[in-house]
Amino acid sequence: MVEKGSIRAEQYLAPETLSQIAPFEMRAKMVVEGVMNGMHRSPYQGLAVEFAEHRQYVPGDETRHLDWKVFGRTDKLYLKQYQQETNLDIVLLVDASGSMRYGSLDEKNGWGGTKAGESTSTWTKYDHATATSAALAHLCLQQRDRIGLATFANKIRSQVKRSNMREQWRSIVQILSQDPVDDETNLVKVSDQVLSSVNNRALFFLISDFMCDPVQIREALARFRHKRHDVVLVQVLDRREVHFDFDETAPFVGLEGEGTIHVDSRSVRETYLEVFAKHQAEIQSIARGFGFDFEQINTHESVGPPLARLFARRIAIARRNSRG
Amino acid sequence: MTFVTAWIAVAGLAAISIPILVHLLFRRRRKPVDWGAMRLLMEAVRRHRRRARVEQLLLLCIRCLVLLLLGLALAEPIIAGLRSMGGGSRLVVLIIDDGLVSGIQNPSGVPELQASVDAALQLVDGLDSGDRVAVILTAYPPHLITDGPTINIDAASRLIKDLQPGASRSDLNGALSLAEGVVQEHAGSSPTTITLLGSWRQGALLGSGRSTTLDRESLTASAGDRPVRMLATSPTSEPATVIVISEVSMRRPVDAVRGEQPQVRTTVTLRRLGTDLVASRSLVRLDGPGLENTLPRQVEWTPGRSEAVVEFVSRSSAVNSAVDGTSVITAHVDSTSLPDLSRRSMLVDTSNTIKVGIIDRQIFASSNDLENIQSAEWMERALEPGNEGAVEVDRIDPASISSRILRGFDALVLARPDLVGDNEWDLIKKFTDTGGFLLVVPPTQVQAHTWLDRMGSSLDIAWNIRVEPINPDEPVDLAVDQPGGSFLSLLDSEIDQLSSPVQVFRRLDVDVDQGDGRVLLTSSDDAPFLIGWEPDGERRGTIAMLTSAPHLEWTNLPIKPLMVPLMQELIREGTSTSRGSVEIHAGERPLISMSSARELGGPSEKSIPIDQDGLVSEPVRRNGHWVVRDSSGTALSTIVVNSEITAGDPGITSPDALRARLGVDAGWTLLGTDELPDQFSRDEPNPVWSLFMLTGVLLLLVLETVLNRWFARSRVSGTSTSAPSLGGLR
Repeated sequence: MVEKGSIRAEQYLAPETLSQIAPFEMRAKMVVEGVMNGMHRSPYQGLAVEFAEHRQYVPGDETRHLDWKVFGRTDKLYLKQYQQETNLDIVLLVDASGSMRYGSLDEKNGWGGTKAGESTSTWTKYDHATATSAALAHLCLQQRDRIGLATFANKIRSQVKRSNMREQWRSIVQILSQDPVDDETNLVKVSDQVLSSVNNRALFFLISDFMCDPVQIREALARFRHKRHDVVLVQVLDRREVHFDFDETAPFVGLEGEGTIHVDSRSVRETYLEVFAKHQAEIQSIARGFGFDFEQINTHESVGPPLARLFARRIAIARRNSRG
Repeated sequence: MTFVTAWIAVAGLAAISIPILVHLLFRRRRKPVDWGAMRLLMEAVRRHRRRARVEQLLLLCIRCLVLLLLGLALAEPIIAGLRSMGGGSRLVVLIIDDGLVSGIQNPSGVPELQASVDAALQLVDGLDSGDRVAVILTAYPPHLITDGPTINIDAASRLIKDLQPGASRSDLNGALSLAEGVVQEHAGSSPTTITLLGSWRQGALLGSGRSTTLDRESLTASAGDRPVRMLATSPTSEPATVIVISEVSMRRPVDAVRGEQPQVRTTVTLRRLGTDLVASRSLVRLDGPGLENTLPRQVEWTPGRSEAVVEFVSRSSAVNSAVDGTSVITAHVDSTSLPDLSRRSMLVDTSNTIKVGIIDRQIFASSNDLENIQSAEWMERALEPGNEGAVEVDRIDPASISSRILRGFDALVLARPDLVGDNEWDLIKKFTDTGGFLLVVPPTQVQAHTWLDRMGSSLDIAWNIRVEPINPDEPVDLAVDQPGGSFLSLLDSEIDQLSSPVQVFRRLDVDVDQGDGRVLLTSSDDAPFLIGWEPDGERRGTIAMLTSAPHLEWTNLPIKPLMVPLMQELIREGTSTSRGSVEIHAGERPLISMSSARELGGPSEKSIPIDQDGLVSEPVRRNGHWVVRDSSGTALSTIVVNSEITAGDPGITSPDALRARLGVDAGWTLLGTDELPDQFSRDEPNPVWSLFMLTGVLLLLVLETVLNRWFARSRVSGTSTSAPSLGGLR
């Protein structure tokens, strides 16, 4: 376990992960409102770097933007309009509710630990969310995008303001590793709190196990959509949550205070998998309905491949949009 | 409930704890699982519970059906039995008529009882294990030959197979009452059947002369409201004729006791019972000690003749005493149709020595003057008329009376009751209580007979007698017609001639209407001359009293011919009764008067114990003569057992008469003996049904296995829990 103050952020970012996600760019699916020149399209046109469209000249327009080549061919005056490219504001919303403390994979030596794995000495979903966040933050900062962080359960626990400074990455990881992990999830309340502090359009990475009522997820995402933010839902799950491969009757204790139930695992497995599949389908349906990306990450697998898959998909979408 | 081997039961109970201990010792402590996706799991559990309930209900139904079919397949014989009887194990009460008349034999010598036995055996063979059978015999007194209802069918069969016709009458009412008791006590909820087996001739139904009160309703109530079947075999329609010896009597002349060996006449009365009285011949003979040379006599039966009398003459000395002065004479007729009635025995008193003690002062000088001869001397002369007599007389001084002295006598003649003190009266009372015969003679030496009160209170006899004797104005003759009785039965034929010369001059005044004794001889004015008290209650001995002393001042009896036979027979019969030699009917339990009697030995059977009260502990069921013995085996007396003649009536009973006898409304069903076994046979188990059900069990087991695995398919398809490679995480 990493002690406070002696956190080595690198423990959350494996070289393999970096190599797997390095070829990709984190691209916003929609135009973003940055304050700096960057790789992301801006709704502000004028001093643009990238051509956007032509429009007829009207008196009063600056003549420097006239497209003389078109005038030569058509004898008509058109202005060239360019889309501004700016930097991207990215906010990592990391679920620190009690359910994120679950993990069935043994703790790995040399890897950073969080408060979530203290009692069980396992690699928890929260650990995996931290690693994912570290990778995303690193990638963003590499692109000079501003990145911020908020951890939450039933409310916002901790926040790191958006910045593209070099130390931002270390601050993010340190917050993640030190925050307590408990309480139940209240996505609606959290979304209200987050959106009240974000005025410009931003890309939100909502990293959670989403073990809450889908209705709550729908309401929260609706709020993000209303503010025209882009959201990527990254669902962190443990392998046993996916497969429920227990072989015995055991008492199951809810990590968010749901109490204890004795379950004959083998007999209830099928029903659990049905319920789980239905839950997953519902979440994905909600995300798809709002046009948000959804990616599932398994704690027993590396962070890199799913992130690379996510970035590749988003780049493809961005290119398709730019061609259109 | 009892166990044959209790330790196995204890070991079995102890073995139950083994799996429990194993379970407790190896029970795994389940480690709680901290679970994140609790909301989904709880929802899954909720759903699973609903589905599992349906699945488990289905599996439960299949498993129950498996057990049900398995049980039915294995229990098919029981089911078949239930179909036939409508219940579980059955209670069958068999009442077999083995009374006297069941011994009527067919021409081949087989008794009618055999038909009942055969039917009973067939019936019992048709019973199943678990069924209970009780066998009751009707021969008086009716009794159970099984130990209550028994499930040991083989043992019951053996008992039935060994049955022989009884010598006593049939007591159908008693047998039915016994059956009712068995049903009330043991029927419970078992299907119950009472079955009467017999040929039901008149002799079997005459018993008590009243119809039974047994009816189906009362029995049904006794059997827990399960209907009780009551079956009876139909009465036989075969006519039969039985020749029986109805009476044997002996007449012995009065001078028989004087050692002159006169002729003894024995009369045998024969009767033919039945309706088919055709012409035939019978041969009658006598058996008994010393009668071996008596020739048989032939009886010619003309058509319709029903009675014949045959007289045998023999020397009295030939009739030897067998036991205690008595001998048994048996008359036989060669008819074999009903063996127990084709012979009849009687007791004859042939004792040579009876010890009589005369309580009076010893007189050493005998008087030749008849007027001065005292009562005691007359009694001595009457009892010992010659040098060789059947009676030995000794004088007992009243002052020397003791229990030791009295123990040596069979009879006492109390000639001086006035000299007997209270203690001596108590000893005399004890003498009579233990079977001794006492003859009380009024003393001639006193005017006021105050001893009468002491005698009455000491001997516990009630008779109102005045203290002062009376002297009739004129001598009173003894009556020509005497009441007589068993005491003087041998004198019956001559008593009128012997009593008429006797006159009474003085006598005790007895109130005839107030007393518990019996007058044996009276005078012509109806005044009692001889009174007798037979054994009663604690007293086993007989008491007799002369109201007139055998003294010529009182009566001329001492010089009349009646004196000797009267005293001889009085002493003989008195001691005979006291000794307990009696004639009874088969099936009775005689009361033996002798206190030392311990057992009753039969001619061919084991001995029957006699209890302290003198009652034979079991009924005497076989005819013939039985010997009473003391604890050392010494013969004390003889009991003759004969059958009742009416119990052998071979008359045919109609089915209606039998129904009426059993109770028209009682619900009895009359059946032929060949129909009875069908009433008890159960349906044979149907192997096809069992096979069908076992096949069903197998199919259901397969179905249960498939469904069980189908319902638990999640565990079958469960994947490995080994951790996957961390890939880039490492």
